[in-house]
Amino acid sequence: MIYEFDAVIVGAGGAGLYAALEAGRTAKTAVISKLYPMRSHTGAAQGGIGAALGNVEEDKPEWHAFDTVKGGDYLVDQEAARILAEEAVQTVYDLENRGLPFSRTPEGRIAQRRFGGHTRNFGEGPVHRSCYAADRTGNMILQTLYQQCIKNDVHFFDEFQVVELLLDGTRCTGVVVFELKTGEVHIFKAKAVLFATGGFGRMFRITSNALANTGDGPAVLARAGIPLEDMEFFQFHPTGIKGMGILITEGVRGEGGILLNSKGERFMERYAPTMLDLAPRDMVSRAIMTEISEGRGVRGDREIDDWVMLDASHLGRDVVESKIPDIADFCKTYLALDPADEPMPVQPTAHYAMGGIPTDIHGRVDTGGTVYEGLYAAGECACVSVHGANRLGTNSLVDLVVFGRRAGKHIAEYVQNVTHGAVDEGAAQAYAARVAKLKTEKGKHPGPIYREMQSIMTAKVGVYRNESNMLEAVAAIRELREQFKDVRVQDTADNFNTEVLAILELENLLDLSLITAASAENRQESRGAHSRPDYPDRDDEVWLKHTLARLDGNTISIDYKSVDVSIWEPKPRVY
Amino acid sequence: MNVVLELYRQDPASGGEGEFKSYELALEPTDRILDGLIRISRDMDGSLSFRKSCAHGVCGSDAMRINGKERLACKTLVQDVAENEGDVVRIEPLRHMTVQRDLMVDQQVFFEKFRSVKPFLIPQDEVQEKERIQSPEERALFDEATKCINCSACYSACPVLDDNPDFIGPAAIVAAARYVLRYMSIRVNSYLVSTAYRYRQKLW
Ligand SMILES: Cc1cc2nc3c(=O)[nH]c(=O)nc-3n(C[C@H](O)[C@H](O)[C@H](O)COP(=O)(O)OP(=O)(O)OC[C@H]3O[C@@H](n4cnc5c(N)ncnc54)[C@H](O)[C@@H]3O)c2cc1C
Ligand code: SF4
Ligand code: FES
Repeated sequence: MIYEFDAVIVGAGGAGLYAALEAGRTAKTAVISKLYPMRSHTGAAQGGIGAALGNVEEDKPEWHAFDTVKGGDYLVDQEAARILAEEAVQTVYDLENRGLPFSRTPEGRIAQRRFGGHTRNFGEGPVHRSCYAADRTGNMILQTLYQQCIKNDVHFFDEFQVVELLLDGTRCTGVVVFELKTGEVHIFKAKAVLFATGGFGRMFRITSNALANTGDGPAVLARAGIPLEDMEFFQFHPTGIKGMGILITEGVRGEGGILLNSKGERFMERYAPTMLDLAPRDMVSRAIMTEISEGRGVRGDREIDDWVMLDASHLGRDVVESKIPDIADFCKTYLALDPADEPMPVQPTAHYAMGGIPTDIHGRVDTGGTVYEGLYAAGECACVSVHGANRLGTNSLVDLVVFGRRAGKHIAEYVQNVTHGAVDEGAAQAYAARVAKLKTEKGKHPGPIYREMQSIMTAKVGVYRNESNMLEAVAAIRELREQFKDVRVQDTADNFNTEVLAILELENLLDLSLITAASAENRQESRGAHSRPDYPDRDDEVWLKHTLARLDGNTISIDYKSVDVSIWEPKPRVY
Repeated sequence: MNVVLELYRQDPASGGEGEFKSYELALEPTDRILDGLIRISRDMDGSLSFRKSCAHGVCGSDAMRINGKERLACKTLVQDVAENEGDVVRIEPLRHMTVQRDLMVDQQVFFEKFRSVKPFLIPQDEVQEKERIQSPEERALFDEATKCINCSACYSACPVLDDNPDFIGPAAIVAAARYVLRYMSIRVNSYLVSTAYRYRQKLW
């Protein structure tokens, strides 16, 4: 079928839903989501959303913006960070007014807690900035926004998966979409398309990300020739459940939890004397990996899958049960352990993509020289860039709502003044033919390629990466992309063929793995989450610039875009 | 350990009846049942259909009946349902909704009932300053009701639905209760009360 809308929003997480609410005010808007909206990964966010409300102690948006820039190791575009911190305040009130059930202070105001890297007065000490709803903040945001969408009759296409972008030169005219229920391939014509497809942590073996986090948006755009920004910066959250990667929120440390090595030492004292366990994530993850590689992990064998302990038992049962109830539940389910009694075994887990689709502060896809008309991105799949080389905790939820809203607003205006562009209606048939070919020929299962990709990325493009490892990774991923050509779908049915989608998702992850490994190999310095023992220092002289990596067959070509440092001069990052 | 996952398979579109098909595979006792299903679909039989996403019990995608009980496959460990080498674990789709394929059911009716209670804030109180003031005690009143992840396990387990398919089911009532309880601290929301009343006849 051919559908026609003013605006198509791809993705129904926090970013997509907020954009839909705004765009839908004036534009005929559709939300396309491969998951039921309430299943989106925004619902997994635990710790909170950062905004300088000052409900617990003095705080200012300016401090928040500075922390964001410093936390991102100065690769952050500073004007964007200023907007993020300033608009965060009103957006949090707006969410509260729409019914978001935040936890409360004794005075009845929105409760706030400490979070890594968020400081008072430009780094003096931790500040209570993270607004939270117990440890289910993301779920409450998702529920609230979805409920508002129901209230406003937003048009949803659930379990529709976007597979291709339709461009007319540098103007976006629509998308090609696979419908799970019927197996049909549709065209959605649109004056504006926003991608809000979330993260892609599933390229790694140990990850906090949902199975659906396969980076479809960035991969679809990359295959359409659009370069991706700063893909070498992937955040490893320090505290994932050993072996599984399930996230233990930083809120545990915000409430007073501490990290211990096998000798029972609070090792963060040696790495970040002021911020201790609440130093930014990249630093804490490196500290853990250093402890492990020096034999002070729990098992002590210096292997990368060793772990350390996170202790919250001294906080008392009341705090554990009221402030981090879901964490207690995960520990009971997956580790048969009660965090009020015993410490939790944790290791770094692939968590968040700082890089992604390059956009300007209105969410428009902007590659530094070219603005793609009618094409927008927001949320984790986008790179504004407010997270630079390392995102601070609670800043993603802010990013979703602030820039989701801004993009939605821009779309609402933009579509008023343009007509629909030209669309190649044969694109749907061509894609259907590709799917048919996947189904009719005999071939291999995807399992081995999936596992191999994840192991390579975790081992060679992880917390620490060096030249030879990354070159090996690039070569290995190239080889896997070749092998992928022999993968076939066994399931021949048209209806609810989940296998077709799983294989298309693997293709997306392989493409993004290649771009990530190649971008990482190219950047010869250490900055934020990108840490190279062979180039241990930050090098502002050469590398204070964003990477733009373009996929072309099995090769990656690299270009750069300048960083906005108009407010604060880059300084060494100490905590 | 080796376990046998005995899975319900059906493709209604091709007129097929439901049947059970067994897959034997090696899993760790601490693996999730969901890990087993993923292994089957990626390595053994790509035609197996089921929903999944977060893999840790927060998104509500993978409720199914495991050994006769409604559970999330990602929150059920192998050791929770199999003790010995070669044990059989039987996995079926949820009840009270039609099977779309294998372990996937059509949740349309479940979501429609959820929407029917208007599960959103209908502001009746003026926002005083920036945020509404609400004490921690008032907040605690409806805390439990915010925990629902719309997995529809309760909808499958509910015995009332056996006899009365019009019953809105536990989850929709939870959604309504969330706002009823929220309003109790301010003012009673007349719409929700009337909704609750309308459905009362359909309750026990
Ligand atoms: C466990 C965990 C805890 C976190 N905690 C915090 C926290 O406390 N604070 C914080 O700030 N951040 C946190 N984060 C990060 C934050 O939650 C995510 O970055 C954010 O929710 C992403 O939102 P999104 O709207 O960009 O995408 P998502 O919520 O992931 O939504 C993506 C949407 O895109 C759709 N989609 C994807 N591909 C396609 C396709 N091909 N076609 C159609 N639709 C598609 C999906 O169906 C989905 O609706 C956490 C992350 C994790 C993993
Ligand atoms: S109330 Fe029902 S739908 Fe909600 S979480 Fe519980 S079982 Fe799932
Ligand atoms: S996969 Fe999300 S609840 Fe099980």
